[in-house]
Amino acid sequence: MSTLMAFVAQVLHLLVVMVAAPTLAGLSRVLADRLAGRDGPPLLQPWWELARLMRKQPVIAENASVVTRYAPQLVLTVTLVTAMLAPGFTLGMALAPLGDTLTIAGLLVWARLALLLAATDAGTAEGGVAAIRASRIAFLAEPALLLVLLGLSALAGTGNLDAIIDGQRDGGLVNGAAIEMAIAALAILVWAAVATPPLDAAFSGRDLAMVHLSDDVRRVVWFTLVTTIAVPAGIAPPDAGPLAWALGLLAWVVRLTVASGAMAGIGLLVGRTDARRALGVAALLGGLALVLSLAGAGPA
Amino acid sequence: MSDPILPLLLAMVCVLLVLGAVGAAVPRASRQAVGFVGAVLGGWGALLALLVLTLDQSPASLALPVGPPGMTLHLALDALSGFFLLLLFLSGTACVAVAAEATESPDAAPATLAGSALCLAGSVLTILAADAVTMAIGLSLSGRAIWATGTPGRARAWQLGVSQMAALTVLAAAVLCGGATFAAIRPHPTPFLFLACFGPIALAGLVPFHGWVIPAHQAAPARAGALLSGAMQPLSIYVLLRVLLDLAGPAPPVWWCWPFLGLGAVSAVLGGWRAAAQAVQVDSILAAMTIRQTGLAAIGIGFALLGRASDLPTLTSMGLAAVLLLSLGQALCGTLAHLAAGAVRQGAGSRLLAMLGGLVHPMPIVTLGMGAALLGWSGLPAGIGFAGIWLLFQAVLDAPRMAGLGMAIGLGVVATALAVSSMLAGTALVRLIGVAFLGRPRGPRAAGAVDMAAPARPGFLVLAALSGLAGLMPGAALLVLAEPAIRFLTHDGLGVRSSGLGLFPSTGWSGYLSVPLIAVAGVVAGCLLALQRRRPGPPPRVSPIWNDGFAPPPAWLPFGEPLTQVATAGFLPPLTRPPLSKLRMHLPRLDRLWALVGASAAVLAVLAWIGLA
Repeated sequence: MSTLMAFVAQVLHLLVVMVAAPTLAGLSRVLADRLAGRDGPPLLQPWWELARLMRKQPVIAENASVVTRYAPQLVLTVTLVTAMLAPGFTLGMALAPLGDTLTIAGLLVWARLALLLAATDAGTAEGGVAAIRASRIAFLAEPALLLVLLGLSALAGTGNLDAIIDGQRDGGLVNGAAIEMAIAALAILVWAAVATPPLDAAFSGRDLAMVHLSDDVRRVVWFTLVTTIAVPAGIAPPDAGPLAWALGLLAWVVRLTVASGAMAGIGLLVGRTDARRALGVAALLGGLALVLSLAGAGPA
Repeated sequence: MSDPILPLLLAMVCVLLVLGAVGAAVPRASRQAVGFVGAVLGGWGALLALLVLTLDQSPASLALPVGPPGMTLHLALDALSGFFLLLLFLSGTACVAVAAEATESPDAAPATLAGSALCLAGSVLTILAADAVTMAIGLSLSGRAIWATGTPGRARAWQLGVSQMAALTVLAAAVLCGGATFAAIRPHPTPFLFLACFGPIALAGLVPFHGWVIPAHQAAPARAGALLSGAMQPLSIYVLLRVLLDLAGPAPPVWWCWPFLGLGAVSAVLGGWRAAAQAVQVDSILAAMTIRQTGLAAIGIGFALLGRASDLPTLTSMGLAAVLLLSLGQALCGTLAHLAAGAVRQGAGSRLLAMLGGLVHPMPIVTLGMGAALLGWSGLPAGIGFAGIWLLFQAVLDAPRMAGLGMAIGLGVVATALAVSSMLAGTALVRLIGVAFLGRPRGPRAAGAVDMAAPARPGFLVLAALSGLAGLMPGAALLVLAEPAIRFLTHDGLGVRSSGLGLFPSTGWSGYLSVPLIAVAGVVAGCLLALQRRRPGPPPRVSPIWNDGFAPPPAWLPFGEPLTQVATAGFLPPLTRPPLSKLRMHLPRLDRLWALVGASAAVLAVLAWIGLA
């Protein structure tokens, strides 16, 4: 793929993610409500909410510092960069060489910590308690994610996300048991990440809109990551043209829809389960996947 | 080229010794002048070390006709010493430049100034040493100098004991190896060399010798704490590298790597846990982070040894790159964080997190420095700590495969420790910054805190900028500063695969490319800001906080009800009782986490039994 095409693909990818993010959030809500037998909000409700928030005047606590002021921008920036690194409809986008799995995990941590700090910034009881609760959930989720990603890197012989997906597309990474465990762990992590609401109590108006948009983008990133690694069918190879892109786009939309339907179904089945219990299983699966992939085949 | 530099460095040691001798006796008025001389000297030292690293790495040596009866002291300078000299001088210069202005407690200051100079002199001597006697003298001197500055008590005594033990073990190992000079030991290494590691391991605070670290940091004044964390920790790592990877020759026994990998993993988790869950003082959180950093460096040393024993030069250089980068981070961030803690202690009157809060408003400079230091320690991208941990993860991937399930399980445990430890560091960052620097003040002194004195700020900010720069360009830092040392230790000219853009794994074209990543993030953030500028919404309104119905504080309680703000507890789920005590009492109700650990161990054991590998 020429450099120009790689850039075009990258920009297109970002645009698709931005458009898909609130829509997918609406779809998840609709699906969850329909499965529960309720009517649910309209599909485009998140868009209207974002537009309404953008018009509202933000209110900032007296005691808030520069952290509250700039955290929404930081979180949105970091999440968008993460989204640019996770291939959706084609491989070989312009930023593919930056797509190191551990770096992606680090960027997700950045967004989480910025929100945690903003929650403690005003000095309210509610913010502090919310920060503590969120930090306790990350206790297992973050190491589990790192282990899963390291296991996938060990299987593929490279830490690059593009190369990992390419390896899967070319007939699967060799070690079957390990990759299934890794994908299962990743799915649990996605469920836990999507099921926990964002720490948004410190924000209002446009800032809140930015935090909600980042949460929607994060959902797209998670769904894209897990589904593309599990079923990379349809994704365009690095040197493909616009026709393959269109096909890849279609496959991506199907993957995202199926993923949000599956998450809604799981949400209905497990109800309000404590995320930490599921995350323990994810950590266990992640560790096992890593050990199996280190012990089994791979570049010697 | 290094030949003229070595005498210059020796002269610097002498001047520092003189400074240490007269520092205590200097009158108050001219103390600033002494501090200035110290800072200039340190800056020159850093420049000289940089010269050694950039211009020429050919080793130089020097024999001094002084010393214990019947002996001469041997000095040498090579790329490894150059790298650690640079760290030492950076940390020492910052300490002297910042702390000469801070009158922490008026009567303690002169002793601290003298102590810092002597500690620096001893550390430089340790690094320049080419025989065990000189090294022991240096270690002993620097430990004694820190001891002299601390408040009397058991913690200080432990610190002295540990540093003297380090000197003694180095001497004992040399005696058992049958020669004092390194040149005599190097051709005929014996397993006795491993003995020399015990002292430096304890001095670095590796588990199980970590008990003294937190109390010693609490007992020492901020400047000595900064030296203890930013200079002595890298110094002990230097001694370990010198003994294990230089003196021990090209083929150390395989088992040497396991204690380092195992104890390093335990230290990385335990230190992080202390910082994120247990420590309630600013200093103790920082000391716990130092223990964690030591653990990470030990894991790197373990990988380097494993690579050497199993003849995988890429693994060796990956492990060494991680160790050197982590040491650089420790020298910059450890010094910075302890100086910031000293400013908090002085300006806000307490080091208990539960007495602080909201310091970002009165102390923006200190907050910036503490934030930079914790970013550099934690595992967040664009911090230098992330680069170090990233290299360690790459080393896990580079470790020998096909070596059986036992090896895979060991590596899995190390990787799990790394992952847990980086999560803990992030939690510690949120806990320290969120409780002490953000939120509302929890007491009158915190509300009336004053920022660091203006003359002390430049040195402090330069250190913060250096740590930020090193985190932004870890690849360049490795190439310019650490590459000569790695080449020196690996002998075969195999350096690290890094460029100005970032770090690369041993195979492949994609890695942690920090500079492009930051550039992309900058472009995205710029676009967001431009959009916001273009269509400015209604301006934000500042209003009093709504605290879930808690009334505004009454006049007799000006800081409000303390319980309406969270404090230090609860950021991690409790994990205090050891599993066995639970097993004995109520077997069916196992704690879930321990059940998880047990289950994974059982599954792994079954897999091992089946012989899956």
